[in-house]
Amino acid sequence: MRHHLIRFAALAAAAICLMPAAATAAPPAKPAEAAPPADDPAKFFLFHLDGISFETARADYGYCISQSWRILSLRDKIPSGGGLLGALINGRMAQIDRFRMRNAAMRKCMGLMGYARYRVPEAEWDALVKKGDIVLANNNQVDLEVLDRLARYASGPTPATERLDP
Amino acid sequence: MKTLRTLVLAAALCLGAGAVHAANPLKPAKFVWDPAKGYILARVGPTGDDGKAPPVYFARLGDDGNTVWSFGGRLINSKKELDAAMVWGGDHFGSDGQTSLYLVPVNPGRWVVGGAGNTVLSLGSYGFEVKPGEITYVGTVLTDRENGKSDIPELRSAKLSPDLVEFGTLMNIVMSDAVLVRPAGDADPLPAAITAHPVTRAELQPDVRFNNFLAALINRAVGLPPLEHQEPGREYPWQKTANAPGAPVKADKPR
Repeated sequence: MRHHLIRFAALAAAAICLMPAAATAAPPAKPAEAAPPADDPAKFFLFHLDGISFETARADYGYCISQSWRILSLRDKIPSGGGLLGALINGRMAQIDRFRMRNAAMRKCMGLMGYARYRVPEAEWDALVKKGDIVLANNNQVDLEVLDRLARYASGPTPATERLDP
Repeated sequence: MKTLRTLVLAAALCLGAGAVHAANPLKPAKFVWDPAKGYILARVGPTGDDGKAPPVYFARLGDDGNTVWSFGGRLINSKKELDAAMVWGGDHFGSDGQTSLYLVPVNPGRWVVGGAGNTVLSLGSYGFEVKPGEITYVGTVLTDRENGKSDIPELRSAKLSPDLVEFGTLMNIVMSDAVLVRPAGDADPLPAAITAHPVTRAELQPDVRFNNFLAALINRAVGLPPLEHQEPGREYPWQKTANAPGAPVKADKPR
């Protein structure tokens, strides 16, 4: 029993150490009266470029998605220890890592082609990407309707929201 | 922290490989010339105090322009197959203080400087030909993280936004690596064990693009011209499965 407790504690400590992404990604539980957290600009953003056509923006997105959609985290590449619980924790953390890494890759790729990044309110962003992200839909596939929406935003009027670091 | 990162990267990449294995750099004591193979020779840095360089990848391209080898499956450091290579660590032919010289046996063909660290140069790199019975001297490959702190001026200017640079506590998974490729010079000193065989200075072809073969972060080699916009109508791999039926899986979302 003691052995199991020690093992669980070690696993939990390791999980906490390995959770930098979750610490910033998962919404913390807050008292009802607390002010809602600002939308995370590392998650809720879209690209825009003045003067770009819808077709070219769609092609640019398509290229960058092709470079980003199969990204794996180091957690995917290194088998986890700790039995079933360890695998569950590692699997969840890998999901978060992939999401973050895809975003970073898209920022790199679209940024190199001159696109600027604009903050988008979470609710609007969620609706636009159908609760997926800018690379993959909620079924882990590329949604062509979302792709069209992203391209329309990129080629549309300059967003009124905050322009973010690339 | 740098050592930890290197160990994790190496562990990750050694645990996965495609249908084809990759080659290790040769230990000088075990260098046996094989005229049927090609050889990639490269200086890699910046090295640590022990002369060990950071991980740098090379990959052979197939007729479709994508790498023959890609991540997923068997060991990357097997010497049986020779279509991709990771050079790093202590198996080098000497160090000049900033870089170490590595020699890798490979299959002849069209190769690229594939990337470094946790980054693939799929958005633009340098290509070169490797011929059988020749040592192809690529030149010097320098790499560092894109945090603006590199000792190499060209790499220091590659700096990501603060939220990416400062991400994470134990290890930053979203900060890509910058890579600078300097062509081989005619006057570069090479050891006698190398020059005893035919050595060709690589003709580097700039701005070669390929697939993200390590399923890692992506970048474009330092010094290449700006990335141009894409031509509409091109087909991409994801289109083959974009709307394919299948069991939906949970999205990779941190919410």
